[in-house]
Amino acid sequence: MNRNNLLDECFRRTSELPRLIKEAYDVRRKNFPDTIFFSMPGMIHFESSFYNATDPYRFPAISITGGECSLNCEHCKGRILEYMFHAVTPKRLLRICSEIRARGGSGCLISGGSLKNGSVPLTKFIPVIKYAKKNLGLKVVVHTGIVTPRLAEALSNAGVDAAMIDIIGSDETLREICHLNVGCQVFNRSLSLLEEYAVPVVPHIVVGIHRGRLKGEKEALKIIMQHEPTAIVIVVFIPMEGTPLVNAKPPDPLSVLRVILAARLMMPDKPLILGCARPLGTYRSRIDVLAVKAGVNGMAYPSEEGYQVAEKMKLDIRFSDECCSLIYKEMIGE
Amino acid sequence: MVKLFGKYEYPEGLYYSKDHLWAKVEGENVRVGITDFAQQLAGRIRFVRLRPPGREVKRGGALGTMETGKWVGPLRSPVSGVIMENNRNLRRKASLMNDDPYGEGWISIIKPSNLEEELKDLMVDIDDLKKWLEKEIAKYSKEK
Repeated sequence: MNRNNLLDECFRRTSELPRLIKEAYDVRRKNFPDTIFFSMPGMIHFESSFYNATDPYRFPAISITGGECSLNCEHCKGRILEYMFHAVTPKRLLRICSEIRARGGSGCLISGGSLKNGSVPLTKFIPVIKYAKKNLGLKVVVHTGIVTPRLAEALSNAGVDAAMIDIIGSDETLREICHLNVGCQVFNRSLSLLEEYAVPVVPHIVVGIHRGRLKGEKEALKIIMQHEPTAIVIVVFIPMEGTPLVNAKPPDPLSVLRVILAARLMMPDKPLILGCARPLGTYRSRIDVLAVKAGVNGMAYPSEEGYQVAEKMKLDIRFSDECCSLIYKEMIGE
Repeated sequence: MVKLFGKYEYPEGLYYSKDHLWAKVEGENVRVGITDFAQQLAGRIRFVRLRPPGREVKRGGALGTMETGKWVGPLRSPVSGVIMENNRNLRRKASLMNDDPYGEGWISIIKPSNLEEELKDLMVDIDDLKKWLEKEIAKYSKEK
C-alpha cells in the first residue's frame, strides 16, 4: 500500500482498527527498543501509585506574556497561561530560571500567548535563554508559534533543546478557531526555517481542535511528513471552562487513535508521544491504553491504566520530570 | 465558619487532617471531604474516582483519586475504617467539591475502626490549624 493510501486508511471509518493497531505496534518494535518514557514535568502536582512529582520548579512552564494572548483562540482564550509562571521581562525570566537551578530543577518550557500574527514574542528573551542554557545548565524548550527567519536563527544560537509548534492543517480552523488569517502552509515554512537553522523541532497536533471534531489533522500530518521532526507530539482538545468551546465534546477516543496510528505508520522512525494536553478521567485512561497499544514511545502524565498496560506489554518504563518533547535526548542517551 | 488569611473557609467543629481533608463525626460514622484550601489550591476539579463502598481504608491511605488541570493525586483518608457510602453526585459533577466543599461536595462516609486514637492526630482547634496552614500556604506558594 502506498503512503497516501495508508494515511487514508487510518482515517477511513470502515478501516479495521485492530489490524492497524497491530501494524503500528510492529512498526514501533521494528524501529525502537521496548522502552517507553513517561514524563511528569512541572506545574502539575502529580501523585500516583507508580511515581510522584510535586515540585513545580522541576520543569515549569513560563509565560513570557503573562496571562495575555492577542489571538485568544476559541479553545483556550488564554486559560492555559494561567497555570504557568509569569515572566514578562527578561529580568523576571532570569530570576525564575535561577530559582529553578537553585531548587534542583532541570529546565523549563518557555511559552506565552501569541501576538496577532501568530508568533510568540521570544526574541527579547533570547539572551536569558542563552544564559540559562550555558551558565545555569538548564534544558530549555520553547513554544514558537509561527517562526520568522530571525527567530529561527536566534533560537539556534541560543541552543534551545526543542522548539514546539502546533501544526494546524485547516485554513478554516486557523481562521475560525485561532483567529489567524493565514493559510496552513505557514507551518511548512516555520518547520523549514527551524530545520534550516538546525533547531530540534517537535511539532504538535491538537486532535479535535475544530470544536472537538477531526478536520485538519490529516493535512497537519502531511505537512509534518515533509520534514524531519525530532519527535511528534499528539495532544487532544480539552473543552475548557471560560472558553466558548466549554460545551463542545472532545473527539471520541477512536478518532484520536486514528491520528496516532497514522503518525506511527507514516513516520515509523520518529519518536511519537502522547502529550500533556488531553481530557482527564476515564477519557484519559482510555486514550492512554490505546496509545500504548498503537506504539507511542512516550506519554506525559500517564494514567494508572496507561502505566498498567505498558507494564503488561513488558515495556521497559523510564520516568522523567522533564517535558515530553525531550525524550528524544534520552533515546539517544544524551 | 471562620475565614483564615481572608481567603480559606474552615467550619468550626470539624477535624482536619494534614492531607487537607476534613472529618465530621456523625453518630457511629465519619463523613469526610476536602478543605476549602485544598480545593482552591487544586483548581477546578474535573474528575474523581472513589474506591467502592465496603473497602477498608487506612488513615492516610487513598479513598480515591482526584484530577484537576494542575493536580493529579490521591485523596487521603483522615481516618481508618470501612467505606460505607460515596457521594454519587461527584461522578456527575466533581466540581461540587469546589462549589461546596463542606456540604454537597462531601466525599465519603466511613465506619471508623480506631476513631478515638486517630482523632487525637487531627486538628480541631482553629488556632492550631491557622499556624499549620500558614506553613502550608508558604509551601505551596509559587511566584507568578
